[in-house]
Amino acid sequence: MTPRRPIQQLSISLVNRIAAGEVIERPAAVVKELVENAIDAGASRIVVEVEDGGRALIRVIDDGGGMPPSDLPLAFASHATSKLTCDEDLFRIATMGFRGEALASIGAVSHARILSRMPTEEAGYEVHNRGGAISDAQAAAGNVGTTVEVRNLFFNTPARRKFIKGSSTEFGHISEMLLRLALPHPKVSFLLSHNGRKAMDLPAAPEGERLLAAWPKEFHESVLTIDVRDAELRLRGIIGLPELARPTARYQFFYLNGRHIRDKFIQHALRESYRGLTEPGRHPAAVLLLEIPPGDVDVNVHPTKTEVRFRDSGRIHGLVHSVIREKLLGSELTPLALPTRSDAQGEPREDLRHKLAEFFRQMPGEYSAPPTAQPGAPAGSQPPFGGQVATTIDAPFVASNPPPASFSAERPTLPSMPMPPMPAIAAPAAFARSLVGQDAQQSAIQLHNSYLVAQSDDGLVIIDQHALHERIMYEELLARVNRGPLEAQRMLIPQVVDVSTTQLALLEQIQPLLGKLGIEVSAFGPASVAVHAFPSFLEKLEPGTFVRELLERGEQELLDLHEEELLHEVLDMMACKAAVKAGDPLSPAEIEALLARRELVERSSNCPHGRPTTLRLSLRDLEKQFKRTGF
Amino acid sequence: MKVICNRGALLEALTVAGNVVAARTPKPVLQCVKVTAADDRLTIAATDLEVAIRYSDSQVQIEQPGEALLPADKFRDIVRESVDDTLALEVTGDTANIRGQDSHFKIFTQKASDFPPVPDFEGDADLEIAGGLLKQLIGQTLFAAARESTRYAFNGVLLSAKGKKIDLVSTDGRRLAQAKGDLISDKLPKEGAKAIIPSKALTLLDKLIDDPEEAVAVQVRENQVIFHTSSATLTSNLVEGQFPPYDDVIPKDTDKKMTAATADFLSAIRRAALLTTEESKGVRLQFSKKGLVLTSRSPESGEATINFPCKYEGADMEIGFNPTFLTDALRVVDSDEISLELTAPNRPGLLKGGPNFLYVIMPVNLQ
Repeated sequence: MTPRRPIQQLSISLVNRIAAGEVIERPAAVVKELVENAIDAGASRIVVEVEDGGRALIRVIDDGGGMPPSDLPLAFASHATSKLTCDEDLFRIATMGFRGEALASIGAVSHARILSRMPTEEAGYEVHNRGGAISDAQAAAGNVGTTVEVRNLFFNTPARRKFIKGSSTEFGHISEMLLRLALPHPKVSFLLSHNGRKAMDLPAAPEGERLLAAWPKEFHESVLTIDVRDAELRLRGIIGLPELARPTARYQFFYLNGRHIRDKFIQHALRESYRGLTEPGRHPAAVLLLEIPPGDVDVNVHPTKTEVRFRDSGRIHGLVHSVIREKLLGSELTPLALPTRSDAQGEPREDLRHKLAEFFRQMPGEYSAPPTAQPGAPAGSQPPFGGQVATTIDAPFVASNPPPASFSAERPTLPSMPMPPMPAIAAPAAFARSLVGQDAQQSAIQLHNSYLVAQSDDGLVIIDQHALHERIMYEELLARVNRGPLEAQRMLIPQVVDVSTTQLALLEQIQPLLGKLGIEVSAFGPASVAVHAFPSFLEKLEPGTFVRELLERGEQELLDLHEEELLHEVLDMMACKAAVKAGDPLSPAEIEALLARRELVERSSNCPHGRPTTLRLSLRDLEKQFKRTGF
Repeated sequence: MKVICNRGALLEALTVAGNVVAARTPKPVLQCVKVTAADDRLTIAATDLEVAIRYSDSQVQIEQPGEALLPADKFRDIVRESVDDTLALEVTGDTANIRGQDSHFKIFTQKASDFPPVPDFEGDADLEIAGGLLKQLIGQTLFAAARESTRYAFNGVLLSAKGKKIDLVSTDGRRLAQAKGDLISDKLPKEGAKAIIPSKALTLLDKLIDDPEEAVAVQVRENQVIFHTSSATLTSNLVEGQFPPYDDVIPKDTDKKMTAATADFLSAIRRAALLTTEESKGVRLQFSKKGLVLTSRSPESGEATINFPCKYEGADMEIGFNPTFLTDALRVVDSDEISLELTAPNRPGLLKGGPNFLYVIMPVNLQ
């Protein structure tokens, strides 16, 4: 038995070190605290320099108001702040930081230095903090503003240091964090570098432009802006068209009075606004800035201040939901132009393509002809399908909204589309006939081995064969997985894949999920894993290649995904691999089977990656193109 | 060069050689066959640089020896479509003239010296094997080899010969087939010989052998294997890489055993497989003292149940298999009865047909 020890008051340095654990969990948290201070100091330009993912150095340079030399040593003391002076201030917080913990916590677990010069002073002053040992302020040369340098983070908390991930992972968190901080401050320019290389450069810009920095370039065409206010509340920001919704919430940013927050109410309200427009489980893209009277919210819930408590959360929910819903329903949402094909997920390897083409070729036998087939169809022409197609394409809110008149001026137009010689099937005749409306026969033809063109009730549709098939496979897989684990073929000779340590850690995390999907992988030595079982329906794929790609892709995802999101990611990948590719020639029977299955899948106008599967050209559009309107 | 050829024999030679000629290649000479007239025979040679073949046609009358490089597909098509019993082939300069009774084709040739060397069979055979047996061993293993695995060794069949015995082994990582036989003779060193032969070469070899009684001579080199029959010589590069230690995966601790007539078991599996789909391929096999019940289910179409009486020793058990893997093997078994030995639902099954064929098959995890 251990002898009883007397209770003792902890030393201040130990208290600070413990507190640091709460606020400073990783290098990105340091960046957050320092940049928030810089913003509060009125900086117009903030430079963040990072070395080795923040472990070696984090330096934040601002051109703000600076601090007088007398304040400098106090900056490192705990619960010392210039942002609150009395109890009442706590209920009217308008600055980013206020708890007076940040610098003390950072100083307690690193070698930190503050150099500050006020605009009125001739020279600057600096103060050092070596793991809690604070020096006196000394004169030093420097520009107006404050520079904080944090070196050797967590040097005296080895346990924490051990939990720091690789340099690129930590830097990923830092850059994500800085983006979050930069979005609501368009007048401040931000520059981020890692190991001397520029990583992010956000010049001062109008607000709308700054908010777009939250998303990749290809999103920028599909954005709606909102700005609504009443007496007390204001909601502004940008939201993405439904096609931008993703399986993860990584393109969602919420701000409350300029502070980034995570809030389930707002997230829920946003998702509800998109109900019926995106797949369930998808997260719409949105950057929302909410302003409410400071007294209506408690931001002092958690040290990192990302969680808040609203006095009237129902009101906030209602505001977000109604504003966004209204905006969406008043907008044209059907993609009209041929979008540029995003190669984000990388070109599939040639051999995979062939195997998968083969996989698909085996499918048609299992699917019967669509129920609308008419006995009177001329021999050689393909069974009709178009009537059903049209009904699934036209979501109710689209039908009432004709496409904008600018269509012809801005978008590639159909008549200029290069038409290859018609394939030697009976389709062209039937197609032409149906276009002039003399015959109910409808067919689809394949163009460039990539697109299917078919007649719909009010015009024609262009279908991306890969996107549609991927979508169908995704839905079928999802339904299957919800019924139970996928059937897996066990391996007689397990395939061994070399992996990095991060990948190994990721693998441990996602193992149960992989089990559901019929993939059984276990560690095999310190730097490799063995694949013991693989889904039987992916028989044509190499298990090792798939697992390697999965881990490589997973490693790049910096966000810690929830299990459900992970499931969607992996299913996405499986569906993408198993689907026919652009460039695969399809036989009439295959086209028919593909389109027949289109009916089985609800909302098939978007593929799992959020790209549309189907584009629509109505007769009205065509008439406009051919200048037939007005007759 | 001037030769009178029997059209049928020439067509056969060109058809065999055509299997090797590369369909798409950056080197146009590889789309040709090399025709050599010498010593009372016409030799047709073709290569894709992996596999090479020499086929000799003795039903010819050589009036002037020589050699030429002719485009393989055009030459073959002309010979196939011709109606004469004999055709005259005469090459002058860079033009080949093929004359029938009412026809005259001129095709342009390429320089014979540009063609890569196609080795002939020289020296003594390392081993000799009856053609019929070799065909059987190929048939019993080739199907289980992988097609395009990144584990290259899986794309071939491992041939091992030692002490007048030969065995062929193939695997795609999910199942493994092994077939054994006796050699007619061997002059191998004591440690024997091992070679991983690409599937393509074995497919061709299978077509080349038409007399089961004829002995096939084999030479195993460091990176090549050469097969020689009376009419043809086939040379193939070997698959590089290490064949897995397959002996380790052949189960030795099985405690359950089913025996059944091969044809009946095949029929039962095929019927049970009718209601499987691409996504759920597995057939469930329930073994008990009463025999075997096979079931399959497809969420979209329905269910199948087959009651299969058979002899079964051991504890009751349930296991899933991809039926294609089972039927693949049952089709090539050359004995009327097979046995299937098992241990557990997640462990491999061992199928044996006669003393010389065994097949290891990994189960599927059924839902």
